[in-house]
Amino acid sequence: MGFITTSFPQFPQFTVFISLFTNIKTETSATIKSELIGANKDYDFCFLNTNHIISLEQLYASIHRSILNQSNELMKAKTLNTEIIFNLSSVNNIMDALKRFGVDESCPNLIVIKVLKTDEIESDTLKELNQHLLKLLDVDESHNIELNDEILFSKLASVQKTKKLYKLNDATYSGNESELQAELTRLIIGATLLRGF
Amino acid sequence: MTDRLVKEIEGHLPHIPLEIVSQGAEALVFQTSTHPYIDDPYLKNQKKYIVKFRPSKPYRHPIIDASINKTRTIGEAKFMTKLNKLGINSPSIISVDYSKAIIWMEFLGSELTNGDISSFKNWLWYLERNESEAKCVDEQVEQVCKKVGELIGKLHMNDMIHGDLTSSNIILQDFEPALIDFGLSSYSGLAEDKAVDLYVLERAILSTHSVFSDTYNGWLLEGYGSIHKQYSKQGGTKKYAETIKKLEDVRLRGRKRSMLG
Repeated sequence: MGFITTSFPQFPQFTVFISLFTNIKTETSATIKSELIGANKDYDFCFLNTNHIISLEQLYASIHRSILNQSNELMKAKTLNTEIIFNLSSVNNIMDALKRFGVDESCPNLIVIKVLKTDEIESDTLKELNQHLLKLLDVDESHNIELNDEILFSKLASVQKTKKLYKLNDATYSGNESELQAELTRLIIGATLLRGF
Repeated sequence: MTDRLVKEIEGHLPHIPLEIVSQGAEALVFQTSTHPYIDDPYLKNQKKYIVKFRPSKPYRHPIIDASINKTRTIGEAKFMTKLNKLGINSPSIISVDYSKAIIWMEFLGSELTNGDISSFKNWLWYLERNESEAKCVDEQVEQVCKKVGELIGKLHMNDMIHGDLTSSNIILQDFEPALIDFGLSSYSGLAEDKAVDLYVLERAILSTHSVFSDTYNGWLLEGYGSIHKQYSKQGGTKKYAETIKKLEDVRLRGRKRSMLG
């Protein structure tokens, strides 16, 4: 099974489901886009392209902040799914965030996130959810690999594009290649937290 | 008093074990073993984190209070992110809750043999109490003092003012100094403000490490100067001369410029 789950100590009432799908056809991406606009219940997930996601920590920071905003009733976006996309961005514009991080026809990889209520999860819930996504995205199980930091950084993301997007080209780096993922993660989280200020 | 404030943050952060580290007029600082969202973050210390909380003040109007706390939290977070980007050693930010004035940050430093945290102050005190006089002014102390001077030099070269430079607000992580506590930080290119920053540290060293204070202060300024020389293309040498000239004025008259208040 290709999905992972996580939960945050502050919010044990929520469980986060995250699954990675590769080799997605352009037509499927286009369908997802239009169904999302039509608010189809089957597509009630947070869909992310992988161009600018360099680590799980970056992703979790955004999900955590979104749940926090929801519990503080301070969400900027209409839904939690969009809020997660918005909180990945360092620019204070939801449309821009959707364009950069949302479904993108030119990117064949998708990270799908859903925040579930922990006490509503039964033994098969997560498996069924993943099966539903495999069908929805029209890919087979071999293209549903487990998400981890190595795949994100060395295979799926573009470090150059990410640096540019977060305006981190002028930051100070140690120059040590093995530290780059750590340094970028820290800088990106800082940039997103200070969005708009 | 503290109990009420601790209850307040426990309400904000359920399920998070908190241990109080220090209490100031403005904020409470806690230590926790729990990361808010990941078990293995890209940080040196994955077992300890710092939570800084600005509690609401009952004597202020609630709306003004919330706005003040929010602005100061933003200011501090911004300062730290900027330092991070410039590569000036300081804790990284993990998460911020602006509406509740809570900042989660990286834990820096380690425990000295006597159990105290490895701040510049505690380390010098430790040497003073447990080691010979020669050890208190040996090469390693010289190196660390110079590095502290360089760190402050880098800060000032970027027109950033710490505002509360004391030896306890400098933490040693593997003998590499890092700055902490940016509650009073500001931005200024004026030699005056930089000189006051240096003066505050000089006085702090004088009162907490009085035996060798002249030696320590000499090394600090040496490090401070060497970084300015490295930045000579960006006007470092000139800036250094201006700040040191001001520092002499400040030494004569004290930290406050105006005679009022």
